[in-house]
Amino acid sequence: MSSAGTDNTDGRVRRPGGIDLRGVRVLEFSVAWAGPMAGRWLGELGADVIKLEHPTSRGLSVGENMKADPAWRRGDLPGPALRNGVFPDNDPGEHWWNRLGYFNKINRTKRSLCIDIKAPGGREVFEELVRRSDVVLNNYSPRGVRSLGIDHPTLRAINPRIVTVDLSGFGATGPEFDQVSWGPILEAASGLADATGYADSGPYKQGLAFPDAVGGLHGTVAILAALWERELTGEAVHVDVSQLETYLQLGGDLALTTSLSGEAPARHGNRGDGAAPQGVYPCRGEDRWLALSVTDDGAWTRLVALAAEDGVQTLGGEGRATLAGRTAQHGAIDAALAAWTAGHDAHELMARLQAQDIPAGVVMANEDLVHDPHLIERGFLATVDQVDAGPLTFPGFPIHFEHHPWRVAATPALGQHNEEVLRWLGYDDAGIAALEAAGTITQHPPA
Amino acid sequence: MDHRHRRRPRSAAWEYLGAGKRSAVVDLDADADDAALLRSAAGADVVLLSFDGDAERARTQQRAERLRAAHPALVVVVLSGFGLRGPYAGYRSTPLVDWAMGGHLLLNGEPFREPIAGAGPWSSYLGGATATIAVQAAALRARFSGEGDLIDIGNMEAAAACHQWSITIYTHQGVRKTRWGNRHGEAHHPLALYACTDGWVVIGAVSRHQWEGLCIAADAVELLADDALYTPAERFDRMEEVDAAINPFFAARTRAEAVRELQEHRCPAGQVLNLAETLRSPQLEARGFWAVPDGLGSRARLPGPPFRLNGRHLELGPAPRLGAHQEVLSR
Repeated sequence: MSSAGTDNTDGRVRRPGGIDLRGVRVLEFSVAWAGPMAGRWLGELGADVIKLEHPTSRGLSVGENMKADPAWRRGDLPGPALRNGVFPDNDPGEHWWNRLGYFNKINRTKRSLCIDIKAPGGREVFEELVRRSDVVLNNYSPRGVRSLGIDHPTLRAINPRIVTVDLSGFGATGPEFDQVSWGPILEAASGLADATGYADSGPYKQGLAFPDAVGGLHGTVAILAALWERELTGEAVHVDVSQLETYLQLGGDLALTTSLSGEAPARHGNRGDGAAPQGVYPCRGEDRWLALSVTDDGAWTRLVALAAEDGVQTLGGEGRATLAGRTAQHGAIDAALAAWTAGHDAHELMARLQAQDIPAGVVMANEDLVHDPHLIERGFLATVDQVDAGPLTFPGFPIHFEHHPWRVAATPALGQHNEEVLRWLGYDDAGIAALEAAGTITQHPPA
Repeated sequence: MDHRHRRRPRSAAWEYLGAGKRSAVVDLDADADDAALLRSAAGADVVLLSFDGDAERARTQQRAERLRAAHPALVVVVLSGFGLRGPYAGYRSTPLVDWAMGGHLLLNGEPFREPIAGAGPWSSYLGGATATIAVQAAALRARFSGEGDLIDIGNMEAAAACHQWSITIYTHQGVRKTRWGNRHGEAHHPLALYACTDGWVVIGAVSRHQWEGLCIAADAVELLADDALYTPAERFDRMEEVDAAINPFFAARTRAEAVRELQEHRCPAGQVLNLAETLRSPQLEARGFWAVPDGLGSRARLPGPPFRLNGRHLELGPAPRLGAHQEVLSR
């Protein structure tokens, strides 16, 4: 097993690249994406994040289905039984719970305490941790929060300076507070899925559970705001974050215009008010595209000239010198542009357009991102030595501090830091063995 | 502060993004205004700069370095499409371009049509939220250490950092992720939108009991006889077969009827609301979410802050008139 690099003098993890939150300890109860994302960001900013994992939190063993598929080849979508795990090389290995790609992407730079706080002795461990911590973060339903006894009044009674964070789908209050909140359900409730789509289509959801990412980002903002608040008041702070409300931050101007007009926004594909032409145009190869925005008349003139170098004479035309004129002829311009771009490599065309100061970008696939020279030079991709899996590459951290380069630590194995944390809390061999014997702590999910 | 050459008439975006701010207009190309900016930064904790394109990048980099040299405790954040360094640092950027370069655009829309962006400048908002985190963290440190920072954030990276498992399935398995219309690739189905008589609903039948609830509610119990369909990814591989069985349920009901019946069977579901309906949401109303901006009429609404500290809303003032607080430059 690899180590996150710990120094037990005060039980805090010494991050190699901790930036700003050294000295802040976070207890994280979270599942799925939004909560783990907020915890990970705090960890990568230097906080000591202890993820309290229930023994079943990474799943239950499912026997035969967890065997590697010998017929699988790299590049193939795995078969249904293994697909959800995103295992490296589609092989769950012996300790599959430490090889879950989707989990390891979002839970790095944390410590893992695998504990059932409802089992014998578990509550005592948890309460001692609360006394020694700054933040308790959860993204459970309000009902789950009460059931676990991790609500703000309970924890404030244990630690009068604690920051508690409820990062829920619809918020901790209101008539819909306990509704299931998968990302697409939140998108639908926000009105933004309805506003997304082709001009001739119905609404569209995002291809991933985007409200979770937005909720995780804003959850991090909220936690940092609460730490500021506590710094000023010296008192406990309860943070109530609604993922639905975070998602609506993406639609502020649309909400204002809709509230004034009473009319829901129309769907218009990739077009926008301040640019014409603006769209996504086919390039050479399968499912290859280029995004292009002409934001001013000078860029249009240069675009017409560039296309003319390739023998395309149909782009410029009467009435197209102004934004209004191009907007009126957008369909015809799109057809001419697509006829031109279809014969070009997307990356090469992007470079030619950008050399002319015309905003254009490759519609990147996941493989493009991993091999992209810009992201590589900026050090965006992070390769870590993942427990039970070896070196693996993940998306990195998008904040670049001048004097504090970020680094990340691998996601811990389930319960990797059980003993380390418990000894710091004062447990001896016998106390730890008793917790193990009671099933309160473990490093393996139950069969 | 707003650059003199970027004056715009009052707009919805200005009202939203300018809420709670003061406004001074400066011409950063004029020595006097540049000096005034440098001077006024003495009273600031944070300076946020942005740029687009190579010429602006060079000037912004120099300005940021001057500010840091003059005020060591200052946190300077530079926000742009691609960041201050790297092969694309001088590239021009728009929200659509950033969204494409961050790897999100390809994942949305129909497989047989061009990809489509979301309904707004979302890559810019991701960059903004990322910058907010950076500012808070750096300002916390500056409060105790007296040491400021220069922070470089690009929207492309901010977007790329917000993928679910898109990048991971490539690095772990070499799989190229693509778009699946209103279905959710690649391991779960149905987590998708369906057409009712008066619009659309979204459902999420992911777990075993949710799948059973859906099949019972939709009168598609024959699907339950197929053990393989209890695996969500198997349902994804056989999405046409699954959807053919459940589509008639939706096609015969209103959104409200479908959602009610599905929820009665413990299958998560919700109506796809348009924004006018979202503005009337009882949940958001009960939480006092919407802010009422001054001077825009009683119907005007803007999103309020998405979190509460000890039950309190953070109050935002109105967006200022351009240049309404010019006096800040003379300090």
